[in-house]
Amino acid sequence: MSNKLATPTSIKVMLVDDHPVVRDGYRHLLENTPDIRVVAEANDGEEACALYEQHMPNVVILDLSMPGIGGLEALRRIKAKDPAIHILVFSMHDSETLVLRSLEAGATGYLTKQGGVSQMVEAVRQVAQGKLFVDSKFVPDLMHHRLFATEDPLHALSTREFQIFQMLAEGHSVSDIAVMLSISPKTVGVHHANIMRKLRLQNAAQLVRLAIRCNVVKP
Amino acid sequence: MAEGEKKRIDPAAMSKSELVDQLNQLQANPKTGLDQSEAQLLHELQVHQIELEMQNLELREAQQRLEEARDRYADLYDFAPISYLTLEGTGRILEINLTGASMLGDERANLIGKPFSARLALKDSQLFFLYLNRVYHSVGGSNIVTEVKIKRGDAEVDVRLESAPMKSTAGRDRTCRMVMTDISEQKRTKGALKQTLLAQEALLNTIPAKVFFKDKDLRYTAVSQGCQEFFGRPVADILGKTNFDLIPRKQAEGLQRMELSVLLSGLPERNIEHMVTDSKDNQLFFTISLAPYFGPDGKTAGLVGVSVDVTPIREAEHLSQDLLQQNRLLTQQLFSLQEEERRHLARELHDELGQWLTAIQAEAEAIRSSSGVEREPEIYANAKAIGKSAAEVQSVIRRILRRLRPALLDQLGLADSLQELATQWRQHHPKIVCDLDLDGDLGDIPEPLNITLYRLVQEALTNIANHAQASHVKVWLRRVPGVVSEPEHLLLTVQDDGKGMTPNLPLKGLGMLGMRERVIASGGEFMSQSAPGQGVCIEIRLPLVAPRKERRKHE
Repeated sequence: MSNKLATPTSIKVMLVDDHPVVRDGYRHLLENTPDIRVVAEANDGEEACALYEQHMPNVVILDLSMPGIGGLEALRRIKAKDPAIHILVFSMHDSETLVLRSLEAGATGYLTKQGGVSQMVEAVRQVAQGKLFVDSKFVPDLMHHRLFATEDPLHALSTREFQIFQMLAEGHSVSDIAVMLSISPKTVGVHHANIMRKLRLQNAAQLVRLAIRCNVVKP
Repeated sequence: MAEGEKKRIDPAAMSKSELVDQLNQLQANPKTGLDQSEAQLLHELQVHQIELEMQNLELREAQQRLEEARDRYADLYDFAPISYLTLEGTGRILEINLTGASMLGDERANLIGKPFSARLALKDSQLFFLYLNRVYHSVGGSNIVTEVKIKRGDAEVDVRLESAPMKSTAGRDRTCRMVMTDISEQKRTKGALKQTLLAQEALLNTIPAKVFFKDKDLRYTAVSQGCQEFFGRPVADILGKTNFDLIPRKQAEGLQRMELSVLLSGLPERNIEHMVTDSKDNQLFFTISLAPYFGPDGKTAGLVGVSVDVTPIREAEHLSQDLLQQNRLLTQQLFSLQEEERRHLARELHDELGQWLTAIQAEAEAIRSSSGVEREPEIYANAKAIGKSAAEVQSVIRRILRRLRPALLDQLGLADSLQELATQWRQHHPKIVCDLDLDGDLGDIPEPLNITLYRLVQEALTNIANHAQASHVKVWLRRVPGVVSEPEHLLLTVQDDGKGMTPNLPLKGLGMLGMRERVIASGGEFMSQSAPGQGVCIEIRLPLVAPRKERRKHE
């Protein structure tokens, strides 16, 4: 099937996955397109690092769960060799944290293996141009992250939530706030929970840090 | 009669009746012109008359005093608090005072002249003559004492008889005096005392403990059956002896110290642990309780001791400790086996099923994209359906995988995994604030600890979500660097402000119990604090044994 040769305009792809059947499937899918060519296939992270230099692909499609150094480490190493390379992570894991860590390590895109296949061709094309491509189901969650934060994360909060956010950042306790706002501590608690969830905050320290960063309170 | 022959009357030599006769004669035949001697005589007689009258007066007074005394003695006799009787030789009652009559429950008149034995209980009445015989033959008239029962109405009363023979008076049979005392109260007290002693003896012999009484010199005065078995000798061989006569000197000294301190302080000591060797050379563990007892003067008279053989309890404790240890070991193995099995299962699902499904999806997508919806609509639709089904199955596998093994733990380590766990939990429980604080480097926690900590937090959060009705949860995991006194360890605190629970109740459900067992299996410590309405605070300390920089985990 891969009888077409890579032309200078076509996107050169390297497949990194420890399962040959998966690579076969990807290759069949990608080589159905006129503009994408699979130039190399690696069985694990180490091999990927070696083959990368040999074939200089435009895009690396990378699995994360592999024997040896694993996908994330391979990602870092390849990225260290060539910061311009675009890497599309293709993983079984649908964890938001893993998406973030991959993007922080330098990946340009992240697709999950459940349902992500149909987006693969499109993703490769986008990523090849350096455009961020993340499985659509992660997008609402990731919007809060500063990697994507084009706007003030606090816009996600309602007026009341923002008010309470500010008071919490100033160091007031839930019961203090309840008294000051003449509402029940239970209600304040619910707002508090919503704030933490909406802003993806793990603890009070992170809340204060975000408040300082967004100039809500003075350091 | 002739003047000269006239009998010379000498009043001093006359008897009282002669004097009176003479005086009466003189007064009956008054003579005028008495001669000198007659006048003399009359005068003397008159003097005598006056003297006699005075004597008479004195005698009457003496008689009155005597009568008063007699009455007094009769009173004394009749109302003395003990009974006096006089019996004649055959045992008939000659005299009896009122106390005696009332003791016999009858009128005195009904008693006089009746045989005393008729008033005795049948058995005693038949033997009474023997007693009387002894009385009459007593040497030197000394008192002969016996105790009998007398009848009073329907009741029988215990009395003591004390009798002595009287010196026989002429014309009378032999008689005896008898004192009768009611001793029924005395008898009752004696009986009660005896019963108490018997009850004490029964108690001593029934009680499974070794019970002993000792005097001030620490000599055994009473011991239970158990002591007999312990010392391997009969009770008679123990009484009057001290521990030094019965057990090795060293042990006796130890016991003596305790016993002396109780005797001196006058204060009881409870549950003193003591190890002794019995007569068969077995090492036994006892808990001994000692208490002083006091004499009527309020001073310590001795001590009572209760000694319980706790050897079987000790052995059972050891056994149960061993069993617990084994149990924990087993639990530990169970946990690690479970995690191992889950991990294995997860790998199989991921590597085998998952990858094939990905391949199917990719192939289906390849067919779909190369067929084209217009050119080969059926193939296009079928390929799309195949891809969709494969994606469905993959989602199911993904969900199973998530339950089996936190994927991030292998990919990113503990910190990220816990944050992801907290994030997901917040999404499921939007009304509860969940703070997660992580301190120190959690990047190189060795594998069994990693999953243990993850599962602990997971279990704690699940518990809180299911039971606590909390509005705020704090999870704090920190790595505490080792110091000289304490090696490096991890501290996990999970605190909620929910309804709490009653402390000291057995841990309900498998949640807390499972957590505790997991912690103990890892050689850690588990503490939980709670009170109704006060939330629950769990503190877990896990030792960080030999944290090695492990090779990057892979799957």
